[in-house]
Amino acid sequence: MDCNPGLIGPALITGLILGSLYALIALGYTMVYGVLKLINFAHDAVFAFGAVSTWYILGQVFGLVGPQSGLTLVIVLLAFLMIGGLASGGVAVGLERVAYRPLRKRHAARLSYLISAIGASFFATYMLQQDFLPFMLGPGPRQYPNVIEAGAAGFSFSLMNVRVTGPRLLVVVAAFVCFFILDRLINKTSTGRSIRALSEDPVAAQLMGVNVDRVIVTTFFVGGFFGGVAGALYGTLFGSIAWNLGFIPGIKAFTAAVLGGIGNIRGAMLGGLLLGLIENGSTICIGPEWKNVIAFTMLPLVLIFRPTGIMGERIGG
Amino acid sequence: MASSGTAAKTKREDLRAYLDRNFPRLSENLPDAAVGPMNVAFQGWRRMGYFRYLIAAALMATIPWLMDNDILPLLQGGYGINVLFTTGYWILLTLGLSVVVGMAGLLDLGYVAFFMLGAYTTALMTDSGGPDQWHLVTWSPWVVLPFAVIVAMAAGFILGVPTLRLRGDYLAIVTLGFHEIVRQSANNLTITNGSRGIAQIPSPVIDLPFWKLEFGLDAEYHWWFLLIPSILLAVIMIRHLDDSRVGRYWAAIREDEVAAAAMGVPVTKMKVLAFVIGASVSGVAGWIYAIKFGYIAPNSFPLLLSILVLCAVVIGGLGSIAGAVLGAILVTTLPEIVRELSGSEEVFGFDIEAGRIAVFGVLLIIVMIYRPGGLLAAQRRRTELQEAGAADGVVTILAADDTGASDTEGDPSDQQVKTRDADLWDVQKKGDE
Amino acid sequence: MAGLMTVDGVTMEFGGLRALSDVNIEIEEGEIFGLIGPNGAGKTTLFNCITGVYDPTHGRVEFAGGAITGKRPDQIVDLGICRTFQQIRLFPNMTAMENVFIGVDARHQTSVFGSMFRSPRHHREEEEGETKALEFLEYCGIRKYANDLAKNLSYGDQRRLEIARALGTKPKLLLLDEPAAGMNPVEKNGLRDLVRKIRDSGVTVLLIEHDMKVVMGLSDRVAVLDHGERIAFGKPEEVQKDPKVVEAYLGTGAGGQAGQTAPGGTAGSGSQGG
Repeated sequence: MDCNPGLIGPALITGLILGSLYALIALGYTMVYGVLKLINFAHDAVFAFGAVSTWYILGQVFGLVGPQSGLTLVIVLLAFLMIGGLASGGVAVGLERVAYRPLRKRHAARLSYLISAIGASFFATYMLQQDFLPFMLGPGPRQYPNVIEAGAAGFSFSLMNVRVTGPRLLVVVAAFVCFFILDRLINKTSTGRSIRALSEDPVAAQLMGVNVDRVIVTTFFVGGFFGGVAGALYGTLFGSIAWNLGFIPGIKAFTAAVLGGIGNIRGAMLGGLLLGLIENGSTICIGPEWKNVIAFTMLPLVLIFRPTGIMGERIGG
Repeated sequence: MASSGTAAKTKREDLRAYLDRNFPRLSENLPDAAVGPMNVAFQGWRRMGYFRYLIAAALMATIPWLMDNDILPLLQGGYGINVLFTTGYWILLTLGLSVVVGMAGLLDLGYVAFFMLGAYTTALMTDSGGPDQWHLVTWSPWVVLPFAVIVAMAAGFILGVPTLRLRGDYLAIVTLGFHEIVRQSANNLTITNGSRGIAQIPSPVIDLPFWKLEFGLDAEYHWWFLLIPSILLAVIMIRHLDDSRVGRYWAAIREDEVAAAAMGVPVTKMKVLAFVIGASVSGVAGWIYAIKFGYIAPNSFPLLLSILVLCAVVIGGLGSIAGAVLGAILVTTLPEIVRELSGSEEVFGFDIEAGRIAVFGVLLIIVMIYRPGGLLAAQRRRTELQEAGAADGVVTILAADDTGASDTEGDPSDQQVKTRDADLWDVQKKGDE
Repeated sequence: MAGLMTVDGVTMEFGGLRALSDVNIEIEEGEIFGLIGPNGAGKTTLFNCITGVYDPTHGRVEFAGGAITGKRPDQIVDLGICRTFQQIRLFPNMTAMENVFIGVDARHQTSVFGSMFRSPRHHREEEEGETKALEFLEYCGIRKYANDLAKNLSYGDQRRLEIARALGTKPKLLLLDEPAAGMNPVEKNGLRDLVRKIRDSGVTVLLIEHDMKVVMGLSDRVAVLDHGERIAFGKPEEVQKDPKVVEAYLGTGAGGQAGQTAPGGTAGSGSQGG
């Protein structure tokens, strides 16, 4: 094993960027887990719709191509994040309706929810691979509208030998802003209080008048929203998207959520950053082709030594 | 309604009389509610003992002949044989996964990892690849078979011992990761020839003084004849386990892990056992896959495959052997039939190869909502999956995660006492009428 | 009489919460030992410490001369301790007979290979097991429900089925966690007879019970837990008079519950017949 200390800087920066993305996606897993105590296996498809919807609405319908600047850029970026978030939030709510609620009403076994969610994820993902509707991606990769100039002409600065471009900076900043908003939402608002109550003690929460269905829908929407924001950021960061884009980030984000303590929002943040740093840190000494292996080995290791993740499973702070 | 009820009753009495005359022992053991043509046929079939496996083997052996002579309306000739082979190794996979998911109730999303390990073990222990290919040994495929099985089982054990203590949903994601770990390792290592994979895996040869046969040399159906005993042995092994102390233990663990442990069930040991048994069947499938196609590469084993096998098991019927077989047929043979009927790669603008997966996705949801045990559900699973949380008096969001005995001292009298509903046989009766 | 099980200085802490502190109990062979105490006193926690669900923070449990702390629940069953649950935990979708069979299986020797290859022992034990399971159902008076799903039995019968299942493991010591909870008076009388019958057949019984009539009428000796501590110990009639016990009950049981659970209240006045 030969280590290359020159790679420490890039590993840190890349780790931070990808870690922020994982963390944003991890929110969706962690919120649904916090309330329903089950893994939303379809969250990878929810995330993918954040990228697909923005690609279609802004790229195809409005024909947005090429970098923007000034106020236009700000407006376009906000539109991106909102459209991605709303679309994914809507998909998440639809998913709850179709794949979860009927099972809840029938008191299905735990295994049924997991399988039904896998079914939903499969359906959504492989429909994107078809091409008979305009928003479907088809089998090949698609160009994503590049609203921020990421090339030599655009904004960038150098940090630890890494060129930090606009999209890269945006991912990190947006992720931290989202976290701040969500943390407030959960810990300071009445909606957040209902979510926390349902997570801590479902029976008591119901007896105290919490509307379970509404809280669950809210949870799915909020988790989906941030997944969608992450989807839009993913497209902006990589410049192209494919029908199966949700798959690997989905598993990674889930790993991150468990790492930090699934059901715990700050844990998701911590887990995401940690996973990004660990898998990219591993490239300093081991080849980058082992990145995924390292990331997936982390999960059982953490669970064996700390079964509830680093920060435990409480949803609130 | 009343008249049809009486008619059914008379029919039932006729059948009972017939059974009393001809099969008194069978009749003695059938409760009244269970007397129906389907159930009688099923019970009769079970009573044939090992003889029924011989009949099954004979029926299976005629399939290639039917295909070759264009007697079947579809899937004729060489193409049909290939579909048959694919269905065959898929049946092995679904049978093995059915033990893990259906019988022990463990959600394994990386089951194909064991299949992959079986295939790679076969490749690395036989004289495969070009001159540069690294080998552990270069033995005959026959000798390698037990090693392929042992490697798969060992992997099941190594993965199972630490992870099976974890909560159920964590297991799902850990196994998913395991699949990727194995696949990417095969992709990255030089001894497995990386992403190019290993080619020229030798076919097995039977070389006896009176009989010499190289598999696949002049007929594709040889491979099917290799699958028949494998499938039947797996079926017998699994049926025996399910219908014994081990199967009862698995059922108990599925129902209530804490109570099972308190009744002396070694919970972790039984879960690891299910993992290892499932892996062993998968190892055999991997061995057959490697020697039949002669070429394996990491891309032949995408994560999708693991999840498709799960789809097959779930749609077919969790924990039921007939369900596993049906599931494999639905996932592999049915799309081929659709392809042949439509005469193209697309149906209604829908690419069959990719579209089938979207269809299975919808099917998974529908099955989970309306028939949680699957199309051919094991009897016990059917009631179990239908109402896991329904026993509680208070409406909970989900069935509680039973990870530890509660220490609350609430008044249990608020628990609902449920009315006695129709007995176990009633579930079957529906299918008979 | 000889000591069968010794609970020696058992302390159990959950985070900062101390559920049991330094509890000492000695149970002698062939007795019915009652464990009482107000809600949340730590009775079920003690059961969980004995049966291996929890590992006590301090202290040890000895059974038949050997330490059992730190062993797995199934190992403890092998040594001869079996329990029932306060909130019924049967295998709801298995028949009553299969439920008991699981218990009986604990004493069977067939290996996995034996099951797989249908060894003679497998056949013998399957046949014996079925007979034994039916015997235990008969013993507990629920033979006629052998082929019914456990979840379809009435509440009282489910309690009996839990006892039958536990007896199936051939325990030397049987732990009953509030077996009479939710039963009507007729069922309670039947239960008392059953517990006596079990004791008379040579099985030692450790009983948690809220119903004073049941526990005082049955037990040879009684220990009282309050806030995780053993506050009284001795013959039922002595314990009933102990001022600390009376205080523990009256102090916590407000309103109607006090009358129902106070040891002096119903035990003496109610009819003891059964």
